[in-house]
Amino acid sequence: MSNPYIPRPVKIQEIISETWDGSLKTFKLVFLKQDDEDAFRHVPGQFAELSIAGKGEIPIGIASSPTEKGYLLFTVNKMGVVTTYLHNMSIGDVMGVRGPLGRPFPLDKMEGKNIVIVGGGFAFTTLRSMIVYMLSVSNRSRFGNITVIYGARIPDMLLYKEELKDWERRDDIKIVLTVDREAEGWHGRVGLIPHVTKEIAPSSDDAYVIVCGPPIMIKFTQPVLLELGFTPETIIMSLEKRMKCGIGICGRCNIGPNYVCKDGPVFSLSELRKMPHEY
Amino acid sequence: MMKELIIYKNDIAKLLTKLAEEVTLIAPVKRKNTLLFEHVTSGNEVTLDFSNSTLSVKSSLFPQCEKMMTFTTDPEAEDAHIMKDVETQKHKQVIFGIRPCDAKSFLILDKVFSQGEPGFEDPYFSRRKEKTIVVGLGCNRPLSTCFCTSFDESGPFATEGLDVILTDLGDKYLVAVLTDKGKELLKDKDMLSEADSASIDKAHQIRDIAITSVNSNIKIDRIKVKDTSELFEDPLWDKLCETCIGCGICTYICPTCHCFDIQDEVIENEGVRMRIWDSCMFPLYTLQASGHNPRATKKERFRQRFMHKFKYFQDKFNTISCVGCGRCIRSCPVNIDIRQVVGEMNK
Repeated sequence: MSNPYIPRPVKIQEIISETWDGSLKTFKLVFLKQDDEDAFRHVPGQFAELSIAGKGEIPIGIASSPTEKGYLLFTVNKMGVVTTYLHNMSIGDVMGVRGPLGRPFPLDKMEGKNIVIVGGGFAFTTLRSMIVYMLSVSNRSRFGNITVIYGARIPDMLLYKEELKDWERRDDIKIVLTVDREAEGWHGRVGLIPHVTKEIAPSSDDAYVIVCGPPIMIKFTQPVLLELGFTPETIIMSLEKRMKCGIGICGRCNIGPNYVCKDGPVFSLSELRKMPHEY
Repeated sequence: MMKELIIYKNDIAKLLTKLAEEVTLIAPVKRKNTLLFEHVTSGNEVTLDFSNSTLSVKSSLFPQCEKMMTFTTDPEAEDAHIMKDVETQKHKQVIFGIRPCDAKSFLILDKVFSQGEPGFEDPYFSRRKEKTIVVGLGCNRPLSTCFCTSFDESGPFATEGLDVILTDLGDKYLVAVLTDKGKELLKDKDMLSEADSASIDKAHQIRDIAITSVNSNIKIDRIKVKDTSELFEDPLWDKLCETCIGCGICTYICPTCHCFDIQDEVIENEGVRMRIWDSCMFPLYTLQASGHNPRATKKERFRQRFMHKFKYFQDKFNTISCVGCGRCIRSCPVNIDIRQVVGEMNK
């Protein structure tokens, strides 16, 4: 078998600055070798280790959908050693991608259901993958109604602004955008995700909900979703941890016997409730 | 298929020197107060008179620092920034004189590195393991800190994970050949002769005495059936962790601790990606770039080490990750005793 630690070489094809403060950039990566492109088959919800020779690796959720062929997208927050270095890299630079890693969103269970997506801040990346996947021509009919509730502190901190506009114009997806405070030029909703979710009250009938965002948002959104009738089995979340190997060996990302890199990062609320509270 | 031979102690150095010519020989060596397993080229360097090694033997399969990949950052190079695999363990290695507890730890490490999944392997670990032959040395006089007989299939003369096992009979060793690999290794070694029945009988007596002399066993029967989250939340951790200073020596000398970090190092454009032992006792181990740390305090880290070995590992692999070698008891600067901790967990 091939060595699971060796990254596949990629080139940076495009860098999109998502926000005014430059803290969030989306990197469009293309494989140097066709074999690698063919072998990298991910499902929304999975992540990969981005590798920079001499700096190290970081686990980042895959923002592109498997239906977008020929490239991968990663939206990266400038935070530590590797991400800061990555933010200063240029188009044409060579780096590596190792993956896909982790357990994805449970598409087999979600197919045929109504889908609610609740996202906050820059945790929207794998949610973008999921939305693009569901909206693709060949997949749209395999899902019921799609409702997206997405919020950020200020309008500028919303990711993928052009795509959000495109989705708002479509009639096969309901998009609700919100920001924490009033802002100049913002005509959308104002309010925190838990409140907006309560107002919108997406139906839990025959539905799955995916919630990704900062821990505080998750904490207050969970009870709202339960009140709306979602069961712990149909509330899907994704966790973050410090990771190195990404394949369940190096030890640091475990929650009890579960390794977030391998058994997650996607867990249902019902699964999380059975695990020690250490995340 | 067991075949029993004997070798006189006078001939053991000769045998080891012969082996060292054929393979990479890893054997116990005394360095001042420390007994270590090291690569040796002559039988005269080796000492087989010891209780147990200060450090475990895990580094012969899982080195403390191991090159995984190389790369260049030279912008002129065609393959700049592209990782290339490092081929490890080209030659056969023989680990000679390992105690049965340490041999068992190899099987536990194997579970981790192969994830108990057919077809999956950690190439660095499996390449070394494939090329390794393990010659054990039964433990005539277990220490007061030994508790290997607590676990199934374990004990001072257990043969799990061994290709050959030696029993010290005073002036000679009884050499029991356990596997084909072991048979192949000892083929045509004229220092060895067929064992006589008196030697075999004496070996049995020594084994029986050794097994009964391990008397500080632990019980894990209740831990097995306890609810993981309940044990995790149990107030016992608040008390047990109090004296721990978080030095991490227990994880360093432990034969089954296997956590590692991956780091890059570049010197003048030539780079290496390597893995290095890491420890769950250290706060940086789990610290996220955002500043969040899921195991921010000593209690959480202390709990992780014991819960991992005796509960999480049980949940995941249906066995525990401890062989009862007692090294952590002997090395702990504040006298934390794993037997006492497990005793509390098992209440």
